[in-house]
Amino acid sequence: MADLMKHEATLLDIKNLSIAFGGLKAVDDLSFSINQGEIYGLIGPNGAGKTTVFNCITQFYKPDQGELRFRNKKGDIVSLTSLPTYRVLEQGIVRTFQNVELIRELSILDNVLIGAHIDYEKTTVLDELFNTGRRRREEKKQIEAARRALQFLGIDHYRLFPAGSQPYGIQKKVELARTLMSDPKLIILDEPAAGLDERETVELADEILRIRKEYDTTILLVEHDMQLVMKICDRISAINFGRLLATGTAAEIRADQKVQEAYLGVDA
Amino acid sequence: MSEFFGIILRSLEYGSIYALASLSIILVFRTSFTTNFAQGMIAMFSTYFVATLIHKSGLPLGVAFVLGLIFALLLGFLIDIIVIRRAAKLSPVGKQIITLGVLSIILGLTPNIFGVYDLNMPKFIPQGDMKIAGTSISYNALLNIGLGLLVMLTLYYVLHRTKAGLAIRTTAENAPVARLMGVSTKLVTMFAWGVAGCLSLLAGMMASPFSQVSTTFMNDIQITAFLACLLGGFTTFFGAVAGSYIIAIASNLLQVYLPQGTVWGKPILYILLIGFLFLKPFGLFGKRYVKKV
Amino acid sequence: MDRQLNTFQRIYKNPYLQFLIVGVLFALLPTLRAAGMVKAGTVTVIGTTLIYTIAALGLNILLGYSGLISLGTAGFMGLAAYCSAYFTEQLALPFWQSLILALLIPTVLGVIVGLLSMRFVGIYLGIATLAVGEILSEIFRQWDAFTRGTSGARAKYPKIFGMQLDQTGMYYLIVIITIIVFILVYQLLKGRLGRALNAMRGSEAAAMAMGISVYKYRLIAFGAATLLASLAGVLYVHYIRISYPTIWGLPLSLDFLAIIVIGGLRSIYGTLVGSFVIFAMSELVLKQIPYMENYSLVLKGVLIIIFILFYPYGLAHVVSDLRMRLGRRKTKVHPLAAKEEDIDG
Ligand SMILES: Nc1ncnc2c1ncn2[C@@H]1O[C@H](COP(=O)(O)OP(=O)(O)OP(=O)(O)O)[C@@H](O)[C@H]1O
Ligand SMILES: [Mg+2]
Repeated sequence: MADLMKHEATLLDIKNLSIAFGGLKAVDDLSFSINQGEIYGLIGPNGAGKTTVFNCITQFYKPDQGELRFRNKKGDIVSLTSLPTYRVLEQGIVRTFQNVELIRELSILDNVLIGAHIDYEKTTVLDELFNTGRRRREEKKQIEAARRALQFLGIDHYRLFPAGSQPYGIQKKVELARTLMSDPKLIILDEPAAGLDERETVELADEILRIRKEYDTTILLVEHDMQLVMKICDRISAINFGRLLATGTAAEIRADQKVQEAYLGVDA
Repeated sequence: MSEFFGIILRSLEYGSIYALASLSIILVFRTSFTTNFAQGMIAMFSTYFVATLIHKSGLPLGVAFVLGLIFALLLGFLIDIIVIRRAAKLSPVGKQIITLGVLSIILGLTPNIFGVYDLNMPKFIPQGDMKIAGTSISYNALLNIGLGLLVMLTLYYVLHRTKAGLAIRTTAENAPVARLMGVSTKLVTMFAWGVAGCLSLLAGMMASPFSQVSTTFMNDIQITAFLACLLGGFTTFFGAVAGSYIIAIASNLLQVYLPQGTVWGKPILYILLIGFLFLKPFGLFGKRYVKKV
Repeated sequence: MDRQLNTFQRIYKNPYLQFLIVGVLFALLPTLRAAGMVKAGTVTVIGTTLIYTIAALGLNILLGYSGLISLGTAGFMGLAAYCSAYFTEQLALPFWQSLILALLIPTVLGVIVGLLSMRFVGIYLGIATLAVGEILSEIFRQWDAFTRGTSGARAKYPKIFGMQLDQTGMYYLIVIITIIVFILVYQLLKGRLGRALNAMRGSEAAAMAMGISVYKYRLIAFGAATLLASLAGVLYVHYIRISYPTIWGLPLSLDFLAIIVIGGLRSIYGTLVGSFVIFAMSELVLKQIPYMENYSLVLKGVLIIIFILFYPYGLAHVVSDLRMRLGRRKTKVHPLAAKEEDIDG
């Protein structure tokens, strides 16, 4: 605990994180930390354990060992492992999923509004039942916020279509828009560029940079598209078989012997 | 002590019935990935068929039973081909609703085809009993216990020692991979439904002499079999069988030793089982798993 | 809702006005009967159909919105009916007190089932609720002191606000309560809570990541569903004035399921239309056609399967479904389509 979160700038500190499934060590004694305002990349070959790290941070999996400390919205340092999954968001951590998780039958607008769920703190079930003025005002405010997020990503004109009826690229953007609704301190993106074509990927890089700026937030992402990672990430950690290979800037990672070996054949 | 032993011994007969019913549920579950709520109705319907052959056409029990097995097999095939196959892309709950639709159809057809009267079902062995360790048990009960065991051993052999069994197990493990390996999952699923139909009929034949053949005589057995599957973890054939015998014994003990046990034994058993499953949602043998996201 | 509507559209598209119009139409029925235009029996059938609509709406919150299947709806409805009959007749409690108890007792039980549901993986829930329904059925059959067994528990038309209702009065009460229920359910589900339930069904992972407590919302869904089933049970027993154990079995629960599947998942009007198809049609139409009555169960089963497979949005959306099949643009998705994880087993 003593050496965790010792810098003011540290947002998330991961220390000696381990989790195993059956005999398989998916994450093995992994440590790294993220500073406020960074765009941080986590890379590694297929099955390296990247998604599992995200699942541990967001408490979808409870790690076997290790510490996860986070400086939350109020500025307090919390241990994430003590929280149930659904209370991670209110600390200021929001995520997307590798296999897009949208409510397919709901409209895109409604999907984005789900991201604002915890923002409705002041309206109760009774407010909803009797459709009070407070509820109507709140709903209007959130719809405006959702449309701003959709406009920000250039998909506002699709908002009334069911999410499941749209192409993959749009669905990914809807998930991204949904993360913007909860005023997050840390946005975790799991392969945001997967399935996008080249033009869309370039667009995405630009959007991620704009999100950091306009929403004043920190971003942690997993991505296989090395060009994208090298272009936008301030720092990168490379892992394989759940273990850390190296941490550093794009140039340092590219030059690293171990990383090159792990990516044998893959352009790094 | 001998009373207690007698209860256990008699429970084995009901255990066989539950085990056959729950095996047919698991067989369908592992290949179609749904809980078939119509399974009890399939049993009821084909037992009615056998009883009708005996009473209306005067066929001997053995012949009627064999025809019944063919009937149940075809009924299973038919349900799979006409309905279940088309539902392959539905969510598990969507498929469950489909099986409830099938339940409704069979229940509605029964009185129209077989008449509105309950029918008697003779036992396989009409009379005679023997003494084991101070308690008497009928030859028919012994036969039923034996038949249950025989079917289970055969099923085990087929599943683990034959090519067909391998195809079933791969389908159950991972249907897309099974297809890649050249297994016709369609055929496997169809046979699973057919065989499940036959097992259900056998359960129905064993159970019906205790009551009569009516549209409702399989209801309790169906629910109990479902609970047995849950108790066994709902994944393995072994778990379902073990769950069946445990429930049969528990049920008989409750009926005998509980005050007013014959009236309240059943609901209390259900409550106990639901309570147990609340504490151990993966049953006695099911493995806990972490859902991937 | 975002397009500019003209004044006329704004009025007829106003959901509250629509609910009121529907209510007024139903309320006209006794007058039509007095004028000899409809039979007395028809009014009773429609009153009962509205009662079933209320219970089915509860199941729609559970299954349609939250994706949680329940085969115990009839059991809870029956429990409320028996409670109300017992409290008003045996204990001679005033209607209001009895009403509150008869709503509260089953609802608490429903919430407990909701608690249990937290531990059951989705597809085992059907089995658990089936068992709960069976337990309740057994209680109705066996506990004579409470239910009067096979001779049936009797109840009277209630007295409310000092007014003794007769059959027609009770019908008006049912219409009023139905419309109030429509409005409240509409308001409850059109916003945040409705979205949370949808999220729970559509993607539990997304729901949890977005801060939705699956625990809390499952309990709300079960609570709302049993509350509506109980309300329907109380209305039933004071309208039909007798309750038998055989009414409250699995077939009735299946009818509720058929209603929402055929009428439309997550649709209030769909539920109403579904009730008419399942109850009113078989009472008013099928019974007139020779043989058809015997096949009503078969017909229901066939309709359930056809609608789930081909018209998953039910009658409420049949027209737009057809248009989608004919048209090029795919703007709808199957509400009960499997997700990736379901297919691998
Ligand atoms: N819930 C789980 N149960 C069992 N094994 C799991 C589970 N989640 C992950 N694993 C295993 O952990 C390992 C790491 O998986 P993970 O999804 O984290 O890899 P990844 O780095 O995200 O790979 P990819 O680039 O393919 O997305 C894999 O071998 C995977 O099968
Ligand atoms: Mg991954």
